[in-house]
Amino acid sequence: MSPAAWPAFAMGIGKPAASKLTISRSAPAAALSEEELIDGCLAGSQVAQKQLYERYSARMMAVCLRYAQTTFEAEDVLQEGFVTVFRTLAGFRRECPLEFWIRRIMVNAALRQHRRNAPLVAVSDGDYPETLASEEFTFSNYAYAELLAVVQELAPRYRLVFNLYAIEGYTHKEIGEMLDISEGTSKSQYSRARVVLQTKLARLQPPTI
Amino acid sequence: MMPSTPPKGSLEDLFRHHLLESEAAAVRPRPQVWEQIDNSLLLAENEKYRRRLLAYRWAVAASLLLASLAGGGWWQSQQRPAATAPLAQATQVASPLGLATARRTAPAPAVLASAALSTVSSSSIDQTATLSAPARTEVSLASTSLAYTSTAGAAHRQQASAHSHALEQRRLVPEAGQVGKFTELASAYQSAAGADQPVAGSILASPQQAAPSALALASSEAAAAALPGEATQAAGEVSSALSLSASGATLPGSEATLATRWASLMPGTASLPTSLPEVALAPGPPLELARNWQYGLSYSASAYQPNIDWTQPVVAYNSALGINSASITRSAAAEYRTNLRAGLGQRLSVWAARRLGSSRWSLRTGLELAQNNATSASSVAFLGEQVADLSYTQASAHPLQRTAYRYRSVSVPAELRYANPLKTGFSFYGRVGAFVSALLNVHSEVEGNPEASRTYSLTSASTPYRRVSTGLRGAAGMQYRPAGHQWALNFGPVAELGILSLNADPSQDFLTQQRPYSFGLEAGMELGRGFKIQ
Repeated sequence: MSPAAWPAFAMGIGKPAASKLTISRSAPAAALSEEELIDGCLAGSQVAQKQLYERYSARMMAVCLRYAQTTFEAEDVLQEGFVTVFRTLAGFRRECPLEFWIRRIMVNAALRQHRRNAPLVAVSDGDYPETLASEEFTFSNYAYAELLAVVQELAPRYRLVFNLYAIEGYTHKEIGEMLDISEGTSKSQYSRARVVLQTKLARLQPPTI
Repeated sequence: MMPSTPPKGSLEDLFRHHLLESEAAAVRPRPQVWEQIDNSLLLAENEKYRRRLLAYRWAVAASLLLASLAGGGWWQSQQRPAATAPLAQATQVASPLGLATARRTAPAPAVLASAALSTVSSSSIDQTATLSAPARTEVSLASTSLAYTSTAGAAHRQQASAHSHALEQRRLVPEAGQVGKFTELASAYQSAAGADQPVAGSILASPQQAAPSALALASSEAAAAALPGEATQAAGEVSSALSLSASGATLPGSEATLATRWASLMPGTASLPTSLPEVALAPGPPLELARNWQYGLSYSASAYQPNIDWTQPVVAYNSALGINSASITRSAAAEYRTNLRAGLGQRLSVWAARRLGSSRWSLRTGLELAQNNATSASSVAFLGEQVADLSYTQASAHPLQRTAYRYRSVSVPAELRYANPLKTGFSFYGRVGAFVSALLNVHSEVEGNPEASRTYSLTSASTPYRRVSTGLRGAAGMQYRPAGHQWALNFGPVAELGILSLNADPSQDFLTQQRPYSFGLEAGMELGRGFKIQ
């Protein structure tokens, strides 16, 4: 993924996720800048850790939900991801937005979760056509919850490939390296995921002509 | 006015718009998630401190070990001068009359070498020649020195010095009365030597060693020639008493001449009166390490870490216990490991050791009873077995439950041991070896939940623990053995490392298994004589 894509992920950084934060075991803290947050976390401040979590948890939860099948699984990934964030924050070189770095960690946590659970999950393609013609979708016809549910219903490998390629912007080569599959396999699985999604969307709403 | 066209796009654009860029793509997690993260961070912090503390403890233990070794070495180096100090005092007070007293006060059994000329070395004779100044035409009657040799080394040389000084004060021109006095002195010396002093065979060879003990009984050659018969007889008695005999076949030059002259003064042994009994100067009994058994009892207290990693691959779990049982158990195993803390380990040993030949090394074995403790905590009262899905659901709302583990085992060690049984006072001991242990009993007690407590014994049908295990052990420390007693006290650090993991089915390969270990101190008592008198 190129650095040009960072601003897209960094959207909303300036928008506080919570206007008022109440830190447990401490007095209410004023909103800190990203740099102050990082420095505070590095100094071991629980206030800064809590504030950083409050600032990014909602958006990262959305990321985790896309990769997970259930909310509980997403919360597990979120927990593991934030623990990794706080443990490895000293290695953050501040060359990109913090949100982008945290998102990468969340994606990696989701991949680890997928590897752990992979042997247990039976992949079922279902009955879908091989290919479908490309079509245009009117954004306002679909709600966030509907699209999230459709993605979560995908088979785990399809869900991973679709998220990584269509949403995160990784190339098939990068995805192949991340998932330990070939580039061709990544392409084929993405294509299959796309067909499944198109079919399910068609069942939700008639396409806009 | 044209109505605005609703945004459209491809499938990818649609999902990116809603799942990535939309304001709705922000879902607040439940508050418990932060609590769990906070708890994980706290545990990670504790783990960091624990590792640091462990490193500090090892450093302190290593420092103590080094300090004890250094202290032991210093103590040993101090022991020798301390032993010779009384003898130095004896040298100062030595006089012909105080000779016997000085000898009796010597703490160590001295070994007095015979002053026989037959065993005098050329260097000793050379020293004697130096002492016998030609200008005074003195003959060194006892040129051979009352050479002492010893198994006790310098202590006996000091004694020899005491006698030498005392006798040199009696440097006589052998007039009749004085020879008589000397005869008395020699007799007193003989009786003292024969009574309580064993004799060793070798004689100090170097001039430095021989010089202080040279008994120069000065006598002018002329005076000797003019000695009346009784004086000659008296001299003969002296030489007989001291078992002096002429020798020096290889003596060169003046030494040979001197020896010849001296020998001419000596009457033949055949002419000695039969009433003079020969002094029995049999070789004394040297101490030698024995191969006999030694026995002991020891107790050790240590910090014991079972260091178990219960994590198993997901496929290894029984799916009949619930669909989430595998992940629950894995999480519980991780919690267990995170919260695992070392506890008190105690071991009581009865041992026997048999010396290897006459060396200071011995083989040690025995029987040991051990009780080790450890604690951990998990939210599902994890005890090492797979957790059913139901129990997790019930327990997930509870905080961590502390669990105490008690392991009782019996073991048989086989160790190579180093110790010096001849050394009195403080000395170093060390041992290294392996042991085989059988886990007699494991009791796991969940705090506030007696129903969850479990006990595994030798007769249990199944147990997550290994019934028989092995390990390595090393110990070193200081041993205190009081003089004149056949027991010793040992004290020092001891460390153990398991060769096998404590859990029965570790998922890791042999090299990466987590093994139990402990580090602590041991104290013990050793019985049995480690030496024999030949």
